[in-house]
Amino acid sequence: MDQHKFDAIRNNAINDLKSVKNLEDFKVLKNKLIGDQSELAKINREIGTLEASQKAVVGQLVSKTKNEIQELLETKFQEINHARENELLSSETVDVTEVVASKNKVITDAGSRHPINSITHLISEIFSRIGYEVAEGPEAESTWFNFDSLNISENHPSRSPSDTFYIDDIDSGIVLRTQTSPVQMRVMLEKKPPIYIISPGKVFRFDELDSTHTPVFHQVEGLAIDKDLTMSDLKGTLDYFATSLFGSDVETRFRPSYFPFTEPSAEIDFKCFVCKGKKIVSSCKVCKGEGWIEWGGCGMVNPNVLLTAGIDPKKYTGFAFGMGIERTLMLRHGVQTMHYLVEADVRFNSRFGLSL
Amino acid sequence: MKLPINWFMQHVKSNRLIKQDEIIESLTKLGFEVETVEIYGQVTGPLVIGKVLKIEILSEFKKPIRYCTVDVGNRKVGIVCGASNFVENDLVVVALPGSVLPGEFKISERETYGKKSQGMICSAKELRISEDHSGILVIKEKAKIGSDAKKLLGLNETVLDISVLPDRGYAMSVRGIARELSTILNAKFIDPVDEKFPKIKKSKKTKVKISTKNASKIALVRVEGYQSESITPLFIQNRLNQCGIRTISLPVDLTNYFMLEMGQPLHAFDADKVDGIIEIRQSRQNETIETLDHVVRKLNEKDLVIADSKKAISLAGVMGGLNSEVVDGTKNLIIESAIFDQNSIGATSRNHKIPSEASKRFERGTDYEINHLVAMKTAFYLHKYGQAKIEGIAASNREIKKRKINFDSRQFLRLTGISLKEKEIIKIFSSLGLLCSGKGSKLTVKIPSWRHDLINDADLVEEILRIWGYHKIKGVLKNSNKKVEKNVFFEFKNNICNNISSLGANEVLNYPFCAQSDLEVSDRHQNSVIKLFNPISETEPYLRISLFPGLFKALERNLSRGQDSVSIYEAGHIFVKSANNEVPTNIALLKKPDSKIISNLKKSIPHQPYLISGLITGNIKRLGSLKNDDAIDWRYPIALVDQVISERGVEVNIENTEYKPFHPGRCAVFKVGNEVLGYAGEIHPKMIDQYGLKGKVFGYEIYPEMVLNQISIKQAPVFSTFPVVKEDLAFIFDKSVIAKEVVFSIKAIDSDLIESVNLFDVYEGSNLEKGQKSLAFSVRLRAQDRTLKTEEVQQVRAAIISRVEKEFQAQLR
Repeated sequence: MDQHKFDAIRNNAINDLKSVKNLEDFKVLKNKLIGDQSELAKINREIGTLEASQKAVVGQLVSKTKNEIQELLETKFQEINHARENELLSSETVDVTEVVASKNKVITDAGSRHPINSITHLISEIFSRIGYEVAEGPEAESTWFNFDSLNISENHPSRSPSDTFYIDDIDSGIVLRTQTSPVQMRVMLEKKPPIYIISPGKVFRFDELDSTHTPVFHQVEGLAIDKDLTMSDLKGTLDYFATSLFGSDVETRFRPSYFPFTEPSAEIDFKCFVCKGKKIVSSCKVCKGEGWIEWGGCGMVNPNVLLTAGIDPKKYTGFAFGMGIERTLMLRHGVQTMHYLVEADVRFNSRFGLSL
Repeated sequence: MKLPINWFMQHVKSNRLIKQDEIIESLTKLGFEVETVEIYGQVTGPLVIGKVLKIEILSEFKKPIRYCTVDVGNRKVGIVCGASNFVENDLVVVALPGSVLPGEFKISERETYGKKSQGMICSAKELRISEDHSGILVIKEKAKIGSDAKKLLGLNETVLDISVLPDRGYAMSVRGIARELSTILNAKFIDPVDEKFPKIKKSKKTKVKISTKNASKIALVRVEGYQSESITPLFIQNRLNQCGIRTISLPVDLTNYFMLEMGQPLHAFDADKVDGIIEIRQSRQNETIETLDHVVRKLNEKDLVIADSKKAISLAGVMGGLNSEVVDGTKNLIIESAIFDQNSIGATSRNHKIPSEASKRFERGTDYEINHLVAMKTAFYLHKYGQAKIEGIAASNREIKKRKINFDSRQFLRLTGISLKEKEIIKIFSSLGLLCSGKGSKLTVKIPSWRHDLINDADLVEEILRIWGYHKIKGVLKNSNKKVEKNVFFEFKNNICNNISSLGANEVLNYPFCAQSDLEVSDRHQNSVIKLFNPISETEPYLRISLFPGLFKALERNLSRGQDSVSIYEAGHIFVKSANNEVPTNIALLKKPDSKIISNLKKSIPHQPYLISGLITGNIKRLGSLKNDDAIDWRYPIALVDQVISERGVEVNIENTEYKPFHPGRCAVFKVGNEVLGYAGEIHPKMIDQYGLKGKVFGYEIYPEMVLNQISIKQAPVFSTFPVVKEDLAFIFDKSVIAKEVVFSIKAIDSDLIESVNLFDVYEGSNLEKGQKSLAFSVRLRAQDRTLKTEEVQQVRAAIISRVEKEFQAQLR
């Protein structure tokens, strides 16, 4: 018996294996190649009849060939199994886009926060990072807190019923607050300096709803009272606020202004973050070619206000600032009209989801 | 306030050319926002003065048409014209072919009405210099035929609309703006008050007195023999037009012109309609006056009037009276110029709703040292252009002392963080007309007669900063360097809202205003409703006592805009009258009120509870599902509230209740002890009708403050790791049996071994009798310290069956 015979057995096995495509054929072939009735088994059974010198040689060849075939079989088995798995998985392939295709365009099916409240919280986080606390106060407020204590004179036009909502009667002494500043007075009366707070909240002014006005809107005001606070500190704080909200390259500027509760008073503008203040006439959607965007009012707390709060203006100075939250949101997110913010249409809110 | 640039720049003398951009930028830096920049009467091309030589009336047309021969200097042209307010030899303004009028209106030669028309005779409206379209513009002044009309009419001038801050009344004039600009442009200010004219002696005919504390000065200049056909010189007409003020007659135009120039409002009376001594006094009760706008006004004692011996002739500082108006034919006039109390004029102007140019200036304060000069200057111009003789002046003055502020110049560094030398500070003050004396940093600053806004240190610091430059302030970020206390309720609200939103709800914000019918929606507070004195809409005069009305309307809006399933909620305050409604009054300012007053102030405002309420309708969509899987039912809102509360570690009890606006049989109340934390359930069908909704709507109302009160630090659980045994048991009950009570009852059998009891099926219908229901419970048994033996399980099972059957007259299925 020679080597060739074994080579032939192995080569035939290789050939036979090639045509095997499934587990059933594989089992049949496996039996044929190494089963009891296989040629190798037959040779093995006949070893006993061989001469002694041949026994060992043939025995070795049989076992070697069998090992080789078994290896081939194992590889084939893996191959078939793998193919089978692949086939199974591929038959289970889905169109993953179905999930999003079933959603309404850009609207999440999940719920949403009102973006006014989301940006309010964002602002509270910005100020928390530089050590400010959040203070809130009542929406229906006494005229003393809303006007008198803030150095707003008896005759100030903002007190007129064409600007301010009065409760019950014009002289009831209770209004819907026109600003969140009464919260500042409440805090100053309650706590000792240093005071660093922001007061966000709803405010009310007698305006009809249009694309930029609403009788009910939101403001965030800040107040800091400490030793040695200056206009430069105020500017730095608002620079930080502006860059935190609108991007690190936003530039701000102060302009003189007038508010009864601050002196000196200023308007804060920031350079348009879209056109970068290049003043491309009327082509910029955000600043309308002005280059600068009016953002809010600010100033050093008027000594009269400090005195009413029981804080010695010789010992302490302070600054305050206030911004419209609607306006800030509209600028930051390109909200086209105030109507969207008050109509409660879920298509608007859900664009923003849980965060801005 | 509209002013042409060239008017105020006439008073800013600089040896360099100052361009328009720099002027606008300077005004902005000084705190005067330039709201618009307009070109007054923008005309290009040949616009000339022409003389009408011949008028030929073309009568064959529907309306009379004139064919005019006009001398335009170097030639004669024929022009067709529809207007008829001019005669031969009149001087008119001719737009010749090639000229372009405002609004890109191009003039060319054309054939019309059978004639060749070589240009256009212009009206004031066509040149956009006034709204007057009564006819074409006839030039009454001497003018050279063929000369450029643009210059004569002041066209192509740039007019700025400057916004003046309410405390800066002194800047509401050419004088004020010019003075401000001079400081920042380093130019010399030419004061229009300094114009010289002949002295005026004391009047023999006019007498005046002040009998109120609300006026301090008045000057009356009497002029006689005024020629009432006199014409206001064109340069004055042009400027008034540029400022948007209508030209009326020479006396009225002059009073307006000098008010604009010097900021002192003036009034002209017809002297022949005034009897006896002129007086400034408070109005008498039931006194009336018909003002120039033909409105009869009822006055009260707070109003200030100028009166003669018989009647009020002017609502002082606000508007003149019709009974003393200067009219066509007036010969003798009295020019009045006074100083009134700012607050008094402001109040009268607001009470009578007359925001006149005069009242705006008086309210903000005028220069108390120039009123007589302005009256005299006006009289002089009336003499110059109206041939009037100046009879004399009458005046009454109460001395006004110039205010002084003791100012420590270190205050500037203290408030601004900017270091300036004293010399610089003093220089800035003097450029503003503030005179300083004193040594070192201690200055005494004399406040000029026009600056009513400068009261204290801080005001002076603002002035220095303004002239030095607000835009130059460099920011320094200041961290509080103190421990930040968390605002627990602010964070909690945010948290709970995020939670509800994560459950698929959309947060909305509604107005707190509501109608009478909306009040019906609420079960509580109906007797403590707050009404607004001045609501935006008469139909919604109340403040909300429930968030539901706003939500119903918002839901309706969403459904009508095509949504099928909507889940919305709002977090906000409601407003309830407080029991203690005494608002403390007359609280002294500039010192801390005592704590009793502060506490009464805080108590006097309405009670304003904070609620979170929501509505849901339609189907719920499981995450990732293609279809709306399940119609929402009454269980959904209850489960939602239960989850929101339980997730915070609060063990809440729930029971059936009746509460508006819920269905009386489908409403749950959430309680801890006797504290109500919220409600949830199905909305009453009546509400669905009332708000035009359809189908079923579900809702909830949560009291976050109450929930927050129940929260404490969560303790970690201890649990068994031995195997669990599950036993399912179904019973038939009477329909009235409460599921939760069965659960409690089962749990109570052996709280050590029974780990949980869950209702997993509710069944009513065939093979059950009417009035019966089947409830199936899944009971999990587990011991802390061992694996349960079969006998133990059997024992508990038997105990459950026996107890439930007995306690609830139930029957095991």
